[in-house]
Amino acid sequence: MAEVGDTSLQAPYDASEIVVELDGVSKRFGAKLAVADLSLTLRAGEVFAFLGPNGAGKTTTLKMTSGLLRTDTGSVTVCQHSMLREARLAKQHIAYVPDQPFLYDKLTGREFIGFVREMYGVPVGEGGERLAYLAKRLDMNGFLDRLAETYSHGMKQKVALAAALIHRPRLLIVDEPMVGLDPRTIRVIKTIFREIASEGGTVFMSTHTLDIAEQVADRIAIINLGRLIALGTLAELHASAAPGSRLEDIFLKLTDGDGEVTAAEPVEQPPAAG
Amino acid sequence: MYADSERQPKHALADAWLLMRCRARQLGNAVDQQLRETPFQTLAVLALLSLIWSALYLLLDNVLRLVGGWPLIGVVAKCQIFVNFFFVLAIMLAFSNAILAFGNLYGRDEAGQLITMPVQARNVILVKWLEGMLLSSWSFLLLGVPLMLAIAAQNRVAWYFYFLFTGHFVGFVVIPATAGVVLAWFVATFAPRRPLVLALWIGCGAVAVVVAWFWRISLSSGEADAWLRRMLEDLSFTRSIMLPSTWTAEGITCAIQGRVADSLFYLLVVAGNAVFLVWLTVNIIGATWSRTYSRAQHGRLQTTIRRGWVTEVLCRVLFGYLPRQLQLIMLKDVRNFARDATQWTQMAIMLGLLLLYAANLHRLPINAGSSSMQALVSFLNLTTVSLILATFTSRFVFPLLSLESQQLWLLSLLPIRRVTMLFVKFLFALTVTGASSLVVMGVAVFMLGLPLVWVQVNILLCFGVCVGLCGLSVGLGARFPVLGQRNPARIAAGIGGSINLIASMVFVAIVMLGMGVLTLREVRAAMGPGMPPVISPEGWRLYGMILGLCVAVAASALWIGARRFARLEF
Repeated sequence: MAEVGDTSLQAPYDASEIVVELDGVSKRFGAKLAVADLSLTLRAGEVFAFLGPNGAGKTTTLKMTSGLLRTDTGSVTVCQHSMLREARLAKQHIAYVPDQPFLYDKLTGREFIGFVREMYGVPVGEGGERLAYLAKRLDMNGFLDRLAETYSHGMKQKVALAAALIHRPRLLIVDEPMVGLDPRTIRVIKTIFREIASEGGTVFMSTHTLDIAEQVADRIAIINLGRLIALGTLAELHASAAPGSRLEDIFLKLTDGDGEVTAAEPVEQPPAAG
Repeated sequence: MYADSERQPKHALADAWLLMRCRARQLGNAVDQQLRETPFQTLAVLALLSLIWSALYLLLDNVLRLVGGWPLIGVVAKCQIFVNFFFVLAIMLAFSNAILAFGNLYGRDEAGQLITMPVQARNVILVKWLEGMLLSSWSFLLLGVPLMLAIAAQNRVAWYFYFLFTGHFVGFVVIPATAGVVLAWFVATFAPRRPLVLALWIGCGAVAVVVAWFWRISLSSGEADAWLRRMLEDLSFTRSIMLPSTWTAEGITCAIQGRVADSLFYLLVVAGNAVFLVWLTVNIIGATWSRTYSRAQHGRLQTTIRRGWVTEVLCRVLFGYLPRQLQLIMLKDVRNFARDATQWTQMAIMLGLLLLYAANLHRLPINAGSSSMQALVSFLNLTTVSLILATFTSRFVFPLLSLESQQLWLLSLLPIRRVTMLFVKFLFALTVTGASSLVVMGVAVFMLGLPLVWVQVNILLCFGVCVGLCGLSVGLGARFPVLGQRNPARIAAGIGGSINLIASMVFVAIVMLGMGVLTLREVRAAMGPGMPPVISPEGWRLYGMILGLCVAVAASALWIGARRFARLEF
């Protein structure tokens, strides 16, 4: 059985395969335009970081990708399945971890993960092995059999992430994954994200922590006032800004003002393979 | 190596079974935790619930015995009671299910989690419908058992009556529960932005219709008999054969009379309609769940508040006597209360209906010269207001301190003692409940034309009950806090909330018993045609003792709560 991190059992994958396609997606909440005509393509084997100020439209985009929200215009396709017409098939490939993960208070972490496992139709044996691996990796054995209502935020994040990974999703969508976690766990999660990508999976994450985006992401998108204002690899973003500037400088420069494009037009590049 | 959409084919109801097993597991864990951590409290609550249940049985038994004793019209009257009973319960069940279903299907937490999973939406709707029905109907079912036993005690029923009654009762619950889910779906689909505002308009509209109706029949019918006849004529639509409440009432009446075939006929009508309605609801709402969920999220936009000065002025008027620091805490609470429509609309509707009743008291066929009748009506008025206050304080005042646990990191840093916080909550609750209940009681005693001394007694005792109930709810809220919970309904439904509700009911029962005995004593001693214009010095002393009891109950509960609250670590 191939585990995250078990590179000896990697299966080959096609790095050009499109896993997520957002095509001209817009979303409006009353008078506020949360996302405006956003087009993005995420491919197999990449970690994609979504940056932007508060209220920029990051979470709305993630929610539309995961099927929580419907688009007003445009389309979302996950693994060749339209989120509008074939939502169940698309969702079979997705795992979503929100910024405030939901766990049933009166279930233990193990029971919750078991519930998610069964929902995705993962056989008991395979799920058990995977849970044992994830519990060890995320250091959850000390609290996995306690009721979720007793968990700290970090514990909840770990259990939610383990539940998300139990069915080996092709697309992991995570909203602010590192908030409230200790440095050791942050390191483990960063490693897990890279391993998922190296095995052909895709990680679509939003974050405010620019260092994490710099360290983990293959490509970075910056969104402001619902509009995509920059997209590319870290090197491409550096190239578009002043020489020697850091991601923080680029981010602040791009998001300062009215959200108009202040850098080079977004560029769409295939990611580096695994 | 990655998730395969054909990994394990699922049968049509697989997701529903999985969700139900998940619920069963949660319930099992909750019961296990309750029994392990607080076994004696659980037993005490169960014992007190059994007491209430027995009292309910005795009450229903007496009502049915009284009605059954009426010559000729006893059978018809019983059927009418059943019809109106089920009609009113159907409306209450539909609305409580609508509120539950809206949160369950279009809320953020579990619904948001499930919607990202490859789950069959119809399965989710089915489970949520079932769950909402059980949650909102448990009290109804609790009421059903004593009703069934009371009927059986009054009539020589055959063994099959119990099965027929249970079938009718369960079948009946399904229809309003489903109607509630449909109502929630309508709100999420057509008014997703302001569901509470819509509920408020519906509530106000309903109250306005009732007021207009009362006004109309009050103007057109001068005599009490004519007024009552006109009111019953207008309410005759509740007996329509097209209503499920009528089918259930008729079916139960047939079962009592041993007409099995007729009873079964009505049962099949109820069951057939219920099954069809459920099938339609699950399929329609399931097919549109994802779209409706997305629409419902639009309602959670931030609204700009421009009228903060209204609450500021109100707070200065009501709590101007307090130091500024405490006024600021009051302002926070007033704003929370004013901006939480679920709290004040329930209170406003209840208050409106009570005022309507009080304003029409002079229409009732009460002989103004009969002291016993006047005493009885004023006693019943005070009892009704007290019982409503008890449920209100248990539902809204008890959770106040638990809700503060979310912000206690902030409040703990303020230069205010924790005990003061309790006092502030008590004053806030007393101001809101005291003002509203005293208005109702004032109108009621004025309409009854009671002598001034009895007006004073009623108003004083009403205020005393407010003091006692607010003290109990704030004190026990501090003694049994539910930390980290944001939902006031869940806080009120917990073990501490149940203890508080029972304690409040017992307190009201004791005060009302004392009030009733004393009033009867004074009326009998005077032996005049109307209520006596003066109360004996001993009577005043005894009324004073009842007031003292109210204050003592409040002080004791606040003391117990303060001791626990001061030691509490967050």
